Amino acid sequence: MNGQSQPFVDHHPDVPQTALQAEQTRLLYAGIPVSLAVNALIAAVLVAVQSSELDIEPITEWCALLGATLVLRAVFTTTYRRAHKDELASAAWLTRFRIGTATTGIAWGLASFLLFPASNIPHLSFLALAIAGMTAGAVTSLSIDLVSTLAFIIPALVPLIARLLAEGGEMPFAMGTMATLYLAALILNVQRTHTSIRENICLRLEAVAREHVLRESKERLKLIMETTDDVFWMADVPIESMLYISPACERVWGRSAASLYANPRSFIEAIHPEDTERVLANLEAKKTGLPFDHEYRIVRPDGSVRWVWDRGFPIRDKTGKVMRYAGIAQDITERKQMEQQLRNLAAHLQTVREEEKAGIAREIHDEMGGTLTALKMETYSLAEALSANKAAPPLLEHVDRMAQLTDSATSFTRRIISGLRPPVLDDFGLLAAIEWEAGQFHKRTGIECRVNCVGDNNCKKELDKAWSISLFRIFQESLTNISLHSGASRVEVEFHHSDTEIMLSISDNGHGMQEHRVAASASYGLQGMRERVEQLGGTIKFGNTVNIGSTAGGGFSVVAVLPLPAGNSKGESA
Amino acid sequence: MIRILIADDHAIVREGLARILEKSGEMQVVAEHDNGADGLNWLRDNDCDIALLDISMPGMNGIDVLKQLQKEKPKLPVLIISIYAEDQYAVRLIKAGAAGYLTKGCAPAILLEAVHRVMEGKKYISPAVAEMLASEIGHESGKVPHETLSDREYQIFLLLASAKTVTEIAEALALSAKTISTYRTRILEKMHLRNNAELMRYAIEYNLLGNL
Repeated sequence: MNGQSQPFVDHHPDVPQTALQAEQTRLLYAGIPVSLAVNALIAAVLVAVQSSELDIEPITEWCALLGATLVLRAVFTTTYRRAHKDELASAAWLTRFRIGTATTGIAWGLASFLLFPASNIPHLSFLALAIAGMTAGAVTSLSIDLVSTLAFIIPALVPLIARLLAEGGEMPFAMGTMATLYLAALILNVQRTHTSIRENICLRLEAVAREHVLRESKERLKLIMETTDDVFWMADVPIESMLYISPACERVWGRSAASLYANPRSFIEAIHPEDTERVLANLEAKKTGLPFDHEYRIVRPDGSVRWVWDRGFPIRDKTGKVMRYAGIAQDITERKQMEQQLRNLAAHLQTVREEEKAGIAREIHDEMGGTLTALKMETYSLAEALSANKAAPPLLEHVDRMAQLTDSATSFTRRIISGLRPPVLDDFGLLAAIEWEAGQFHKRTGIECRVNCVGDNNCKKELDKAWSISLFRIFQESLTNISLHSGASRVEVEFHHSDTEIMLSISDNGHGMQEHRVAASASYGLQGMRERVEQLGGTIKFGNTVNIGSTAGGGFSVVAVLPLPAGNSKGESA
Repeated sequence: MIRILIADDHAIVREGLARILEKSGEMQVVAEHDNGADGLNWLRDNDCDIALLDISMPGMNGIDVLKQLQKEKPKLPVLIISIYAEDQYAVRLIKAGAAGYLTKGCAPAILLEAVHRVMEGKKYISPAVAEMLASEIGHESGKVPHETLSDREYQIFLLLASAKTVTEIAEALALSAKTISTYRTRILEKMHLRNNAELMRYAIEYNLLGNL
């Protein structure tokens, strides 16, 4: 279909003119064999009847004439049938048909001169009947094309009318008048019949075209639905009843679409028990007409567990009311597995890194610490020995400088050790390390850092190393962020350690962080903190502090909560 | 003679310390050990006047030995000597019962001074440590009770004062009810209040609920 360049039939914008014409032509040619047979039959009867009244000569002439036109039309039909499909739409075929019909019409018109038994009224009536019959038949078979119909009935009837009227006499005149009325009625009728047939054809062509488009689009959609592994669905509001679900659901859910239609609850029953509550809560939110996007686990009938990423979008009616939800569900099990592997790897690297740091710190402490201490002691001995000698003061200056150098080497060593892993964390636990770090931070940056421990007794319990180092690193990272970005003048640290959970909250009075930055986790720092907490099964929240009537402004806050497995606490310490 | 035990995993350090101590003429190193456990075992069977312990030692470290000695021999003065800076350890160890804290590499005179002081039954507190101890006290004086609360304590205080239950607060702050209960106890303690009713009265008295 070459679209817009073609003219279209009035009132039927989907039906191109050529298609209509081709269909008209096809129907016209299809009627020819019957039409030729009827022509020949009626002509034979007419000739047989009139032969008793007329000379053989005009009869033969007329027969030859009509025969020739019929042969012409038969030839046209044959060539039409053999013609190539593409040529059938051509207007030439219609023209040929019209010529054929017109000649047949003229032949029937000539019958009023050649086969006209002027004196014999019954025979005259028979001729009139035959011609009228032919024209009546033409109206039904030809009115698909107005021109063809008129090209037949007018040349066939007008000579009859003219001959009858010219004949004179009461009877011929009456017949002539009737024939005139008949012609008029016929022409009116032809137009009506033509319009209605044309309308029919257009409607049929339209339906065919529509059907075709629909089938194609359905076919395409079906291909997409059947070949992708994504599950498309459509559900009524509320979501409980499923209107459509694509066949891929069988591959993801392990349940057929039919079973999901049959039991709408089976969609919810398939959700992993641990995720059901969360998923239902998300679906509940749908009542607000917002799109949703969630990941959850499903259990297949064979017991295997898959991860699904399901997104739904509201479909609204004209008034804006949400009528349905359409969505896509995807099997993301592999992605989840890879994520888990990545997390495991990150966790492993983290652990290795911490162990390595601790190892280096220990090594430096043992080797460097011991050596430097001994060196310092030797220096003191040397100084003492020299001070007994009165000639030594210049040498003593050197010894003094050696002592100072040893001191600075020692303090540098301490800084390296504490930077790698504060010994206080291992010797006195997390709270002590946090307090120490807070003091260092205050000294270094001038930002006041208050550590508040809730429940003094509990704070003295020793934590598992993995827990304490993670929380300590989160604390360090938070302080780094505060000193770099917050513009805060005060940091407030809350530490709470109960039998069941441990909470560390770090909030400042700076200018906070924009929501989207937190959400996007653009910073590796925040991402790292989240990873650490999630490894230990805890939760971490980043956000702008909302202080109810407090003196501090709305700065940024980090709150990490780790659940403690029973028996993690090692009991009393220092 | 002051009889001293030394526990340190570095032989040179032990030697150096022994030399300084014995040179004074009043002190004698009666036992040297390269780890905490051996030192503790020796002390169970023997006696001395002062124990001089390093912190980092293989196996039982100095802090563990100190804790154990607090139970077994509470009268024995323990001096801790370590490479670590005072700010990390001194105050905590003194609070935990140590008689004093010395950094390795301190002047011999300071070591001797510390031993003498401890022998008098006092604690050896270096000027730096004294300052740290001082900064721990007198921090909160001159403040009305609610000003001593931390931000979160204050937040929870206000929620309690507005008649929210512990469970409601826990939900609002994403913490467990147990944590909130601990907070509540702590707040009441800090503010010298006995129950929620008093807490509410306090909040009304100071007009703290205005901006809720």
